[in-house]
Amino acid sequence: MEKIPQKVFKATVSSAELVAQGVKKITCKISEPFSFSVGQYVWVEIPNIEGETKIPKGSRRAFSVCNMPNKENTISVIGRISESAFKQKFFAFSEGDEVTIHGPFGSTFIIGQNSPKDLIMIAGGVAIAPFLPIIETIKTQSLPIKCFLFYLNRNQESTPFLKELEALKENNKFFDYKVKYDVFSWDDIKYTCDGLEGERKWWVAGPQAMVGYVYGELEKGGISMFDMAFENYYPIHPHNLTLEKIKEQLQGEGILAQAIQNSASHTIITDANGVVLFANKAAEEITGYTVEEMLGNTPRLWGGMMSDEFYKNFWARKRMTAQIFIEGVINRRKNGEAYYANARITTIFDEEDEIIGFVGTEEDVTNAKEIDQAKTELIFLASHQLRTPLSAINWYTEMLLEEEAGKLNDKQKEYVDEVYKGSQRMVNLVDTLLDVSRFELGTFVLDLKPVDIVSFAKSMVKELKVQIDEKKLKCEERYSKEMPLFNADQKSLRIIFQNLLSNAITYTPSKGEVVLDVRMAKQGDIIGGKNVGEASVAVIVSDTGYGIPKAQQDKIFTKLFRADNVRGKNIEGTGLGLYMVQATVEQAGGSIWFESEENKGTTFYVLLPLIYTKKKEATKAP
Amino acid sequence: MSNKKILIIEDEEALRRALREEFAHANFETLEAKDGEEGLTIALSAHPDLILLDIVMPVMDGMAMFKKLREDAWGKDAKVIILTNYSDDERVASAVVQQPKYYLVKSDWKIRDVVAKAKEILGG
Repeated sequence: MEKIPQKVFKATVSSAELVAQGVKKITCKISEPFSFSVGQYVWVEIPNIEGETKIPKGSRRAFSVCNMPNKENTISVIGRISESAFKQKFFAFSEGDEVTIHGPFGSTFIIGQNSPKDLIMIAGGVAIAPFLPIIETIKTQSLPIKCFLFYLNRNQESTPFLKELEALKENNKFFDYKVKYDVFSWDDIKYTCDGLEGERKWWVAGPQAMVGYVYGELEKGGISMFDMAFENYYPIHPHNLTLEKIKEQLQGEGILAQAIQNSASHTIITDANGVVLFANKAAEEITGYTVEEMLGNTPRLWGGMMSDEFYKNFWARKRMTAQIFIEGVINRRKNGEAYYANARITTIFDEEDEIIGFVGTEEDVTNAKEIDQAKTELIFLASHQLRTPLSAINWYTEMLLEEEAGKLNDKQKEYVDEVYKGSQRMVNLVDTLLDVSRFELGTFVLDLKPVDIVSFAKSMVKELKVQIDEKKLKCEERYSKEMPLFNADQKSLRIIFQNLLSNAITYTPSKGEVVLDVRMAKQGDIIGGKNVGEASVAVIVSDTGYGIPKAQQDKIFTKLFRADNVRGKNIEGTGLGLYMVQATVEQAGGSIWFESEENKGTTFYVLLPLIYTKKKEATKAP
Repeated sequence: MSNKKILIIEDEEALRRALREEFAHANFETLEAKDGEEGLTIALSAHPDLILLDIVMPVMDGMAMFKKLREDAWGKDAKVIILTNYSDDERVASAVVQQPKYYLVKSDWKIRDVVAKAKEILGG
């Protein structure tokens, strides 16, 4: 691309118009030749703002240029009129007012000969600016690009350029768009993938939190980061929390101020962009950073407290019924030492339900974690030690049953047989406990080898044949014809199949039915009501059993949990099986969910990605 | 197949005895050691047809004994079954890298199957 010099230019406002509720478009004529590429941005500087006390200060702002390069040397910018002194003043400008333009500056979005076949743009509000000239360029140069715009806004009144977009769509085949006024999700756009072939790029522009959220949604849809490009800005809402407001309320000698200052919980207050405006003494002690160091930074300074949910709620602008609670995040003190924390984030809203800031609290739970770890290690050692005496019991009962030490009468045989069965159960329990503690200690090592999943599944069903026959269950096996070999850890697969199948058998009354379905799931397929993000092996186990009570479905993967409706049925269970299955599936980068209705049955769905990507590294805890 | 010589190296007396009796029952000539050091001495002088080796033992553990055995001219090709408490025990993993051809899992295997495996190895 041609290199364009960046300079400072004098310019005069040539027009100013309201293009939607609260949105203004200002066009400036530059006094000398000015060239730029579509999608680039400029800094607009306005003369001294007197009496400016608001945060952030400054007399210039960045704007994407929303028109095409032209001989008249004009540039147009759009923005939302906010309480910020800059925007209040700039958007009040009219014809003849003078401004200084710096730029142009680079662009994330570059259009040209090497552009992709399909371009999907996602714009949040006024961030549509860079996309307008891009669409115009595709039109005027007849570039071979199909273009789809997702346009996210709060409501119709405040959405600029709706008429223009509609006209563009009517007159041009290459362009289509959709406006969305509530939360955006992968489901909204996945259909645009259908029928599209060839290279496709995803361009996203909008407020920082929206971009973060959209990124997450695209990733969920299996879009590679290399096919995405982003441009984000930091919005300032009219009632955004400011340092002054916080100081006013917290830095006095009041009881509340002192209570928060001296609380043992790490407490911070941020503005709507997550920038820290206040931090208490505990925050200093826990993170090791001074208040001065934290102010102006985001909590990323000591860790990643901003979760996906944070972005989602931010973007959804919905009043949360509960705080966001994140258990056991690993943060880092200034000296580099890692610590475990439980974090809570509460949103602060103004009278109009606008998010104006966040309160974050953290508790350092490193000690508790260490105790928990010691306990897990103890369980591991104890289980390990149990194996030797268990071997002795097994071998000697086996020898007795083989009558190597002389003949047993029927009753003796029966008794010894009970001892043997009990001991076998103990071996299974000890194995499970060892697996659980390995997982919790992070020492469960994956040994990835190509697996023929169908043969593997068949062998697992065969192992359980005795139990299936005992209960006179009908067991159906369905396998896709052409299953590729895939890299997996046999030990993990065993945990998944063994537990899901034996649960289905155990929790289904006799003469019921158990179905094992193993098949390929391609990206975009729907399995169990969910969209498949990446090519996976799907393992589906369904039964006509007791089901899981609705009220307890959210606890089903919790360690040691057992549903109420089976506790009374005298069915053996440790409450460790599904916990292990979930941990195993997640370690393999897969996902697990279920559908269940009491007394009708349960279906578990497991997706194991065909290409194993290390999502959760099994590392030794500190 | 009769009168093959097997050396059982196992610190737990109860397990050692069970193995001894089961192998004797299958017409093996049995030798015993209660730790790796003793096992190594017996192995190098008696040259058994097969060694059954426990991993966790006092004095010299199974893996240390195994390493020393492989340094010996006779020992480098000796047939060894490694007995372990848990299938993915890291030491077993490293033992496999050192190429012992066979290993077993104590608690999961029936004692008859241990004998059957030994016969299979010696027969093959």
